[in-house]
Amino acid sequence: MRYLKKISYIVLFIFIFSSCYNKAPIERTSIISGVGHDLKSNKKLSSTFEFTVFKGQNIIDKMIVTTEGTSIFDMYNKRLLITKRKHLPGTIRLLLISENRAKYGISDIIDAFLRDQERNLNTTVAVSKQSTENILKMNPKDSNTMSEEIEDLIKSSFEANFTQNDVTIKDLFNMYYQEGRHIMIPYVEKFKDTIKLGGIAVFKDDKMIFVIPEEEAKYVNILRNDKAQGFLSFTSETSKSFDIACQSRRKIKVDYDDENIVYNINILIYASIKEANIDNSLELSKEKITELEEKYSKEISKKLQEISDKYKNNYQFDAFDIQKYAIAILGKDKQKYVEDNFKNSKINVQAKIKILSSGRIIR
Amino acid sequence: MFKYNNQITKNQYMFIIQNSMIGVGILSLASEVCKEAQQSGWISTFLGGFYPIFVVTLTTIIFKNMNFNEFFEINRRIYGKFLAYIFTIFFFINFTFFTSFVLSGFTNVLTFSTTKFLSPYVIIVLTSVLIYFTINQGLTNIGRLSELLFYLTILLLIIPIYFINKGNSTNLLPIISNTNSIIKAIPKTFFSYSGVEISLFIIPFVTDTKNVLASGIKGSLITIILYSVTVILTISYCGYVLTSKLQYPLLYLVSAADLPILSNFEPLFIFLWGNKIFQTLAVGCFGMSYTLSFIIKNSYNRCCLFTCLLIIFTSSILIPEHNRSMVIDIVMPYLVYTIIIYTLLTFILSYLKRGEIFEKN
Amino acid sequence: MIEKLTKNIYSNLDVISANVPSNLNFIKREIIFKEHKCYILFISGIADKNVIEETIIKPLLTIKNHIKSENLLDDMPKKYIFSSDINVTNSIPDICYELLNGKTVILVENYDTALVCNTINDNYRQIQESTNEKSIYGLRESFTENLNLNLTILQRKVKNPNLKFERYIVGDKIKTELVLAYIDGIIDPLVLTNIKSKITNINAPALISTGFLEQFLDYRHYNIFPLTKSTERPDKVVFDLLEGKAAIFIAESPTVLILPATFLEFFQGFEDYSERTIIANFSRIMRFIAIITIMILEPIYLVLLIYNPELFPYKLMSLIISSRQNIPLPPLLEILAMDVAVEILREGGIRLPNPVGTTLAIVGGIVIGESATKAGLVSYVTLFIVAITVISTFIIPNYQMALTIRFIRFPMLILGQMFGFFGLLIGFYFSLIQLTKLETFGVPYFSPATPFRFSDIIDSIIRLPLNKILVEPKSLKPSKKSPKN
Repeated sequence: MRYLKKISYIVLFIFIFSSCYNKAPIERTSIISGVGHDLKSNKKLSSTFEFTVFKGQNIIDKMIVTTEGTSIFDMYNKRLLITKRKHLPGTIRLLLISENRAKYGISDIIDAFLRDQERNLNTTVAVSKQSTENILKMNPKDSNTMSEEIEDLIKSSFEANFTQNDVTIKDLFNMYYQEGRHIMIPYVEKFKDTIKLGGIAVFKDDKMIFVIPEEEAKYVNILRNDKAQGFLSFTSETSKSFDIACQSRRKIKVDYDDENIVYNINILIYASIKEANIDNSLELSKEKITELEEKYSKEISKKLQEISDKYKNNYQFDAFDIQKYAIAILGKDKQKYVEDNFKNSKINVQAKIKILSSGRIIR
Repeated sequence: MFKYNNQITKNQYMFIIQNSMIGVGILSLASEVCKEAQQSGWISTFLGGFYPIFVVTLTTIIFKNMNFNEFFEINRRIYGKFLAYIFTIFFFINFTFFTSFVLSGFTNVLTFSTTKFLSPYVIIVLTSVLIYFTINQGLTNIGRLSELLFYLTILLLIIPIYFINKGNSTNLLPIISNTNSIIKAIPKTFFSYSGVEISLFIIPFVTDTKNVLASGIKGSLITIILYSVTVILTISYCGYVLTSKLQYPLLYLVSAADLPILSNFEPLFIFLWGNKIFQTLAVGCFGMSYTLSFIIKNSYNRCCLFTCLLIIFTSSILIPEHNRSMVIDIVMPYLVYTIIIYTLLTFILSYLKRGEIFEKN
Repeated sequence: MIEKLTKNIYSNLDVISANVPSNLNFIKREIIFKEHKCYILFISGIADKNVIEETIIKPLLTIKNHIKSENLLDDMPKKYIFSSDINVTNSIPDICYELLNGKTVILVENYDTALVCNTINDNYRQIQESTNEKSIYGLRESFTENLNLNLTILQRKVKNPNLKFERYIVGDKIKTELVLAYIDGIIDPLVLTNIKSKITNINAPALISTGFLEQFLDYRHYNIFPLTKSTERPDKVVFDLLEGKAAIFIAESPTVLILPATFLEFFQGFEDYSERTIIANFSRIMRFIAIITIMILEPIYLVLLIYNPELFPYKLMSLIISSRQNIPLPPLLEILAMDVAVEILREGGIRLPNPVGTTLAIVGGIVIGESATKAGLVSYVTLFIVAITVISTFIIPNYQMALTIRFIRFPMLILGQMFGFFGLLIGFYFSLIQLTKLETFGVPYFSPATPFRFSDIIDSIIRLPLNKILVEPKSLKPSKKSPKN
């Protein structure tokens, strides 16, 4: 009996003091799928929210709301005056930052996403050429919302173009806070009535400085990313080409002698031949394959060396995520030294293609 | 109902030692050490493990010298009645601080992460009720629970290991850049390692005292390795700048995973870790009740009740996290240094007196 | 009440009649044997009439009466009665008790002792295959209501001279016969003493089945975890006796109580030992997954719905929200309603004849689930979660433990509703406290996990090959401290 009495006291206490009575049920919530941050012409911030609308079972629609304000939570507050359901910040799939806003600086966005415990760390981040409202209000083709579509676009691009796979906001925090690294995130733009991946947005600290164009993005990606996938084509004349599907590996070695830092980027590309009609009498014997490997290794090395020199000399900026290796050797306090001396340092690129498979045809 | 039993096996002793330290420290430890020692924070964590091993080793030798009498008896023989009383009061205060820190920290973490809707006082009261049920049965039950929950510790270790190849080794390099800062960071780890003082009270209850020293060291090593591994993984994933900025780096780390059924590891981690916290609290409260029953000469079971009421009160004061860390920064060094001095002194005195024959009471 | 017989046969007869149910079937047959008046007393039905006529009345009436005899009562069993089992007693309570057991009592004029002949009617249910505990490879026989037959079955299987049977009589109002069986030398003396003292201290009006006995053996009346197992199958009893446990048989009951039982062994199927190691481990692991499912799947779902929806992954979340549109019931009521419906169906299924019961459970389940979702009262996801939970309960081999585990999820649901994840945490920890603090007859309930014994833990959640595990478990021997600990 004593036992029962004790238990009943506890239960009574629990009922009186538990604070769980005014909780919105899940059916009254709506999922925010994406947030866009934009900058208006009069230096006012603007943000666009895309969320799903549920009308009855299995009928899902989407809506967007755009508000203007002076800070992130000012806009958040205004949005709550417009929307009809409870919203959860934890579900955001996509953070889209317009080019204008990115150039203006995103430190407030970083702080809000890092500080707020309710926010998801797996939100995908991208920079858009057009204003975010413009992009988010488009009609999605094969998803419920535009944000999901952009997320899927970025995720599916991992298999092509050697795209980086550190695109979520936790990777952004890492790029922002770790020494010798810079924020580099995918850059999307409107393409007819849908969107496409247009390059890489490069940030210095929290401000975007330039965009790596689509044509060069592939090569920058090979230099920057480890274990990336993509296709390489070597064309001799129209419809005569040598195409390989590749997986790249990257190894960085940093040498340091008194003044200059020498970065040795060794890239190993595991490839399988997808198309090879350069020579009709081609027989893929071991010697031939070795010959092809050497020939195209040289070609790709040259191309990569060109790209790396171009970015080093034109922008004096590390777009290849290699400074961290120098800092790891010199010590964390040498960050400024490494960054300042980047223009004087030397980058050697050495690429090597290794053909693993020639496909169904051997001759 | 009012029966208790204090006998534990050697295995259980090892697990109690191991459990007594997994507190709130595991969440915030990385942040504290990275502030001073930067990317070498894990070395400080590892070296800080000197404290539990020191305490466990000396304690075992003291008790061996004094023929495994109970704590009060040993104190009485070495220091006389009055000083023994003072030391008991000191340890009571030490455990009171320890349990209040852990309980309030636990409450802060819960209200910070998964149960934002709950009032912290509800969490404190319910946890105290649970602790009362645990310690009321005596040390045997705590030992058994520790043994059982050790399996959860393995799971607790597996979750961070998910991130083992997701980090970047450049974040850990260079391994040592400044020895001074590493040593400066060692005292910061003491809060995470405190709680091990319980070995002073529980060694006499171990049934088989043959290899008890090895058990104690094994138990400490498990915790030291667990701490070091989590700190290494956190630094290698986030880099030391971000780590030192975060309030609970490990919680950030576990919530970074992307899983199919739950969106991240955080609730699972809180679930496993919460069980460990209950255990840590139970060990601390056992220390409190045990010393209190000597101080106010009352029965152990009644002291359990007083203890639980007392920690409800003391941990309510420490509720916002900044409040708590302020008190920890002020109090913790004094407690730790006093314990180190006490253990060393007792060790020397017991060594001198070891020739005298004491019967086990 | 007069305790001893007197020389006066009429007063004896009166006292006995007063202490035996005065029914029509209490028969007092009077005969004259060697000029002495004798009474043959028995209760027809319980005692076998044919046996009495053949072995007692016929020889007594057909032999020549004129041969003198010094001591009639001494001569009677030696020279005249054919019965194989005869006792001489003068205690009236004993006589009354034996009469109720179906024995026959012979009272003779001028003697203050009586003969008790075994004429028990053995017309019981025949040995059949167990309907509650089916097995694919196991034995086809099960225990019956006949205590002696049960003991015979066991003895036939355990050909070990150390197999011991001890008889106890308990019950204030109705005397019930218990038989404690164990193998001496294997069972731990401390456990045995514990069991014996518990049995002798039973203070109950009557023990009708093993379920009654189980509760009278446990002094913690509000404990929900079973401390003993009951079974109908002899092979299980043999296996457990070999592990160092004891079995209690109750007269007139086909189930046998095995004790002590530790927590983890409730989740071990007996068939696990007949299958290949890896296959057996697979089903054991499935069982543990099922237990976790039963205990926390519904509460976690509830907590995620009401407090932590952000923990659902994005895709799952939109699925769940869209399935919950326009559902009037709050999540807790929705889950509870489905749970209660299922429990009712199942309880109904047990009471109905076997084929009908199964049909009811299936048809009822489908109809209720389908109509509830069609009517928009319950969401599809909830129905799915409840169905998974219910199906998981069937995987627990022991019925008592299945009931307990099924019960635990209701407090967990309420805790989850009130405190979210913290509620689940305290529910889980509280059940751990309860489990670790229990001891069954001196054996810690959670052994061998705690106190940890490696030699036994290899046959708990997983099992290693038979040659490694078929040793006497050390965790059932609390009196022997293993040298390691």
